[in-house]
Amino acid sequence: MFVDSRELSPRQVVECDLCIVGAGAAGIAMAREFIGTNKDVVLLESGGFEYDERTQSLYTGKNTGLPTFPVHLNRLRYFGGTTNHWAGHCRPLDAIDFEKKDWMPHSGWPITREDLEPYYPRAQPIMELGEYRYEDLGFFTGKTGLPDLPLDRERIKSAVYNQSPPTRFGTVYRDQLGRAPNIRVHLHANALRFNTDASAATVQDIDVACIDGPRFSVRPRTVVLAAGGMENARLLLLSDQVARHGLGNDNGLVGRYFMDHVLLRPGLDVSFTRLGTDLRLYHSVHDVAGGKMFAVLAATEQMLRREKMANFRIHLVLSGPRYRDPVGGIFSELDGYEGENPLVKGRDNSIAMHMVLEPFPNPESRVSLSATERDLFDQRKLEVKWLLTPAELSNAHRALELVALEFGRMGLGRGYGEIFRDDSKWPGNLEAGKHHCGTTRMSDSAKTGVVDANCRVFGVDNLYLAGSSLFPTIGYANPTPTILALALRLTDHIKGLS
Amino acid sequence: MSNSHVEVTRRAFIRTLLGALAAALVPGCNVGGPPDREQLIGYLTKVLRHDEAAAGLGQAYISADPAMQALSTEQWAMMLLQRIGVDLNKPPAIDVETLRRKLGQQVRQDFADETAVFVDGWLLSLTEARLCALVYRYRNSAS
Repeated sequence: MFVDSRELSPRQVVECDLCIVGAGAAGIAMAREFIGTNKDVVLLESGGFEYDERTQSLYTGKNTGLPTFPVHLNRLRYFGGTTNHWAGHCRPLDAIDFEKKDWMPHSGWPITREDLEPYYPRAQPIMELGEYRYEDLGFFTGKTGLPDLPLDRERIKSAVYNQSPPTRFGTVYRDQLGRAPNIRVHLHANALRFNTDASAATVQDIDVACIDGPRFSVRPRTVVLAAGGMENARLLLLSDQVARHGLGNDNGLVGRYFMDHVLLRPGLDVSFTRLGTDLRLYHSVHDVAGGKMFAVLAATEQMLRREKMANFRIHLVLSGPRYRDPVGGIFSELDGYEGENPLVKGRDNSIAMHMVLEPFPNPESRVSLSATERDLFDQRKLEVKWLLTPAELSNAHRALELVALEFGRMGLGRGYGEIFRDDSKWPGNLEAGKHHCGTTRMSDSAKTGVVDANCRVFGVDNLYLAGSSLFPTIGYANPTPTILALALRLTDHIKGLS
Repeated sequence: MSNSHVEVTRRAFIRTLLGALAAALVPGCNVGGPPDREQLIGYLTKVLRHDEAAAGLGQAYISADPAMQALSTEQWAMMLLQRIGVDLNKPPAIDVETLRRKLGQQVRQDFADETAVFVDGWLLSLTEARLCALVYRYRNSAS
C-alpha cells in the first residue's frame, strides 16, 4: 500500500520489521521479494509518483572534480528512482571483474561471479528481458541470421547485450506494491539520518522528514539503505551523532573510491575501406528469445591479463562521418575491395565507436559532505570529486588502438581517434557514464571496505546496503543487472536471518 | 557464383588486358619481362588510386620526422619493396595488381603484428603509411 507521509502526525513512530530506504531499482526489487511474507516492510521514497523540482533539489551539490560531471542531473528522486530515465542496457559483470588483479590497485570483490550466478537470471525478468544467454553469441547470430565480425579472439570479442524496454520500475511495479498489504511505501519521506545505540552497533530508528509535512521516525528491526551510489554514502556520513565520522566510517572509507564509467562518444571513427559490411548485429536491436539484444565489442579476458588493462566495451553507432577526410577509400584496393569506393559515399562510409571504459579504483576520487552548503532540511550537501588517473587515459588509448588494429586486420576500415592525435590529454568529448559506484565498497575487511560480503555495514549489526555503491570495481557492464543480483542475494540473506 | 563476382572477375581481366596493351605502347617497357627500377617505382605510385588524398596522409606522416623528410622516392620504394621481399635492384616479373595484392597482404599482417603508426589521428599500417609517403615524395619531386 502507499502512504502519503505528509499526512502523518508530527513525531509519529512507524514500526516495521524491515525498512528499505530508497525506492529505486534495488529498493523496489527487494520490497517485491517480501510481498506475501510475514515481514512488515516499509519502503521510504523521497519523492512522489512524479518529478518534483524541490525534491530533486535535495540532490544538488558541488562538483570539485572533472568538469564534465553534473552532480544532480543524472539521478532522479521520485518513485522508481533513476530507472525513470535509465537507458536499459543490460549485461552481467564478467568473472574477471570480481578478481583481485595485480595491475589494478584496490581491486577484488569478496564474492565471485559464481556467487551471483543464481541471482542474475532472477534479475532478468525484473528488467523485462528475454532468456538469460549472455555467453551464447552463436544463439543470437543463429536466431537473427546476422553475422558477427571475424575478430581475433586473442584481442577483442563480440559480447551479447540485452535491451530492457527500459523498465520504469516506478510505473511497472506500482500496482503490485500498492496491493501488497505487508508493504507500506511511504512517499515524500526523506531519510535524514540513522540513530544508533550508544556504541553505534545497532540502528534504532531513522529520522524522516517531508518537505511540506511533518518529521517522523521509523523504528525497524533491520535496515537496508538503497538510496543510490552517492546518497548511500551521504546518509552514512550524516549519521554522525554517535559515530563522529559517520556510520560505518571508522576507517574513513565512506565516500571514497567514487567511480563512474569513462565515456568517449565517439572514441573512434572507422572509415570503411569497403561498403556493404553487415554490422546490424551491433548497431541495431533485435527481437530474440522473448527479449531484445544487440552486440558490442569487448575486451577478451586473455587480452586483459596480457596487457594488464581495465575492462572496456565498444558500441557501434551509425552516425555518419565525423572527420574531414574519410581515408578508408584510399586503401580499398589494398584491402581487396573493388566495388564502389567509400570515398564517394556519404553516410554509409563510416561508423562511430562509442567506448565505455572501466575506471581504476582511486581513494582520492570521492564524495563528501560540504562544509558550507545545506539543503532544504538543513542537511549538509554533497561534494563530488570525480577523478581519473593517467592509467585510464593510457587504457583508453590502448583499447581504441586495439579496435582500430582489428578493423585494419579484418580489411574493413581504418580508425581515427582524437586521442590518437594527442595521447597526453583527454579528448574534449570525455563524459561520465552516470553510473555512480564504489562509495561504500564491499570487502572482506573493515580496513578495506564499508560492507562485508553479505552487504552488512561493518560494525553495525542491522544495517545493510544495496546498490552500486557496493561495487569495488565496475567492469564495463551497465550496473543495474548487478545491482539487482546483489539486492536479490541480500533479500535471501535477510529472509534467512529469521 | 554470384553476379557481383562475375563482374569483379571481368573487370580484373579487362584491367589486366588494358595494362598489358598500355605497357606495350610505352617506350622502354619490357613486355612480359621484369620491369626496370623506374617502372617498378611507377607501379608503386599506382597502387593507391586516390593519390592526392594519399599524398596528404604521406605528407602528414613524414612531417614530424626530419629523417623521413630527407628520404628520396627511391629510398621509400626500396623500403616498401623490402617489406614484401622484392629487390629493387633485381626486380622480378611483376605488375601493379600483383604488387597491390602483396602489399595488401603485408598491410593486414602489419595490423596483426601491430606494426602500425598514427598519422594525423589515423591508425595506419606501416606499409600503407610508407606507400602514402612514397606517393607524396613522388608527386612532390615530379612537380
